[in-house]
Amino acid sequence: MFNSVPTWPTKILLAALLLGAAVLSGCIGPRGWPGTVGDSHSLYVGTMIGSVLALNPVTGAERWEFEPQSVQTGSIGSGNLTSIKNAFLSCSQGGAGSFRAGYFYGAPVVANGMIYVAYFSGVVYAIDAASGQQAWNYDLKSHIAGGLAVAGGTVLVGSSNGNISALDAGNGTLKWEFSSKDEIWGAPAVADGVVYFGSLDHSLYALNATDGKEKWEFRTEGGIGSTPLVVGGVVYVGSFDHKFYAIDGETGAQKWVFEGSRDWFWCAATYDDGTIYAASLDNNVYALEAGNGTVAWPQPFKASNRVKSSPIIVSGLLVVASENGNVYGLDPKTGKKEWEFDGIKAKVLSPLYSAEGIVYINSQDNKLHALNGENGFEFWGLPLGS
Amino acid sequence: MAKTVSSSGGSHWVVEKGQIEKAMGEAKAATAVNVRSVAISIFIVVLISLLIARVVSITAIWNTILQSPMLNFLVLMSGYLLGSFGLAIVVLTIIIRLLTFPLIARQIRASKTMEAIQPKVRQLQKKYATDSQKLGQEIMKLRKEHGINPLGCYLPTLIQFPIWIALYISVIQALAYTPENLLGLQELLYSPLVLVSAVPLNHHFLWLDLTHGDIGMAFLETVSTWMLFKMSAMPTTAQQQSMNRVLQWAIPLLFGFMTLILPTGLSLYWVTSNIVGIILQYPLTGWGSLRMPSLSMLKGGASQPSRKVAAKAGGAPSTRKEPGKGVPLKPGGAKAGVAGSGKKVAGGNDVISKAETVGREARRDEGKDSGGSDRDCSG
Repeated sequence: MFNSVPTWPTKILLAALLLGAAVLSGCIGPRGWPGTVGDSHSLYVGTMIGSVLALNPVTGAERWEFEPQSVQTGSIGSGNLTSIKNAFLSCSQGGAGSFRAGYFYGAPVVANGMIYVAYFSGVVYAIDAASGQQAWNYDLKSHIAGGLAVAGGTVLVGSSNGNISALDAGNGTLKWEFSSKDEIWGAPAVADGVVYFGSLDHSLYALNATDGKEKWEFRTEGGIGSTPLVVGGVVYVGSFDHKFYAIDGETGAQKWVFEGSRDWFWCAATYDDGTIYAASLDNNVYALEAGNGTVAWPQPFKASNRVKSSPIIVSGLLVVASENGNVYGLDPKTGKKEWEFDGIKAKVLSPLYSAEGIVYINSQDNKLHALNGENGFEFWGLPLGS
Repeated sequence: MAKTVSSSGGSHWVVEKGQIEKAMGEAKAATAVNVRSVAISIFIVVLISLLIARVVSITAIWNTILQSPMLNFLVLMSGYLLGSFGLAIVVLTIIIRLLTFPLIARQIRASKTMEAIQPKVRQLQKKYATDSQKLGQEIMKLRKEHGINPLGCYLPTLIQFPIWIALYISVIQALAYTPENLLGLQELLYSPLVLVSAVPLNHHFLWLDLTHGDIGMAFLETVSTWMLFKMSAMPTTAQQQSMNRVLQWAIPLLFGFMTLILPTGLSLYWVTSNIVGIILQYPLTGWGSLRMPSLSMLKGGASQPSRKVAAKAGGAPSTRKEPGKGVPLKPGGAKAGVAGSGKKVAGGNDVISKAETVGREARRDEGKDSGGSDRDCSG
């Protein structure tokens, strides 16, 4: 570090370097990409400041706001070591010397009248959907960067220590845990009593949902950071090795593999009418026949930027959002662009959500946009607090 | 050149062969400098034009030239080094240290030369106490005589800064503490699958989890920084010594604290850098003020080593207290206040060391130092 005779100017420059480096490291710290879900009464929207809002799906009016205990502001001078570390790693959030600990990635999950949210801090919260009051919380003591799944009274969540944890959805007690060899950054998928999840250790795992026993492990050549898609007993998942796999859900045997991408598969794929739609970080959206993996479109759809949000089917169209905020409505049969909306002036990283023909999009400037799925017309763009 | 008289009775200038070659050499060097200056100027103008026209961005330039190559090298190295990212950090740090060492060595030599001419500078300050313009000119002249470029003291450090920052960001990015880091890493990775399959990187090294702070590394960082600081510490005025006393503890402790709260991957770089720095710097500075004073030195006072050097050089130990007077460097040689020629001082460590020691002694003998002395390179 001290490469030479420490001189006064050198010392000053070193201090400046340290400060700059700390700021730089903070600027690439966690910010999260919270998503949106809904039920028949409300939209439940994650915000960039770590809260969950319940909104009227038509007007956008707020019903309640949940702010977990871990979402606290602090300062370098007042916190413990973890707090200070967070301060260094979050310069862009709290301003000079302050920080917020409540970031989350992915959308909350609605089940049995509860909202479940997994925070990057490692705490899973269950919130009463009607009142916005906390029912329980459970601290996994590790970072959560991939959302969660709820099935059969069990909350399943993967964390940075490589564990997939099963919590009782009613009271938050730990049922079982399974360890993979690296971080888990994608939400698990559950189908027919089997939990499927990818790990950055390059493997896709299938576990028995009741006791967490491993059924099979499928190796790829890269990390898996996305949520698997399960349709008709087949698991579809993309990997950082640029390949997209179809795997038999029962045996773990590979059915087919698509190798046409030039970059990572980051987000979950979507299924509609016998076709799998998978977006890659090479800016392309690929349409693949679910049965044999052959390409369904004459050529992939090329977005104007990387696609990090899972595509979604709305009003018979495939809606895709690229990172730079452009949203496209595509004909799912041909890949032809039906409409394009470029009114979002911020990054889009969160998964899209749709209800009643409306597409809801969280943008990184902490806004929720509501678009007409048929033509891309924006109903409203709602700021979600400061 | 010599003036001669020809047989015809006329006179003409005879230029010696060596002088012609010297002149030609200087002309060639001047031309080379000019070509280089023009090339640099054109490059800067083109770069600024591209930036203004937004054809390229500063981020893109930074990523293309420094960040991306460094990050890819780290990832690639970790693939070859048994998948150990920690080992890759160590190897890259050593390579960077070795590559930048000539700059560091030049900086150390410049610092020492600057230190050695301090007695002369003080003489000038006394002489031109009322004429600051003349003082400035004379100091510049003195520096020129000794081949000192004030920028030469800081330039090596400045040049290293981008490398440090790029390495810092590379470590943070490659460790992928957050999904944002991992996506940032993806954007900077070159396409080959060998790089992709190496991600995510194994962030365990020895007993360390490179994504978390570690108290053992904090200790190593504090100790190694302190050692390097002590080795590097130059003799200073009483005021500066007092400041140095604070800094020699404050800075290592500050970095130790940083090590505790930031990912250990960074402190691995810092500690490795410090250790390599100590090894490389030892031939130039020795242990510096890290060396324990001998009993005889403690008894005899701080000027003991200077006497030894002076005696080795053939001079007698100085006991004089008069300002500006010092110890002869060699029999019949220069006084301490004029510690040899600049070229000799800059040319080798031995001479530097002697000149510097004599310079120090001269100041001690003076019993005072001007706080505002011309000390651009030293503490």
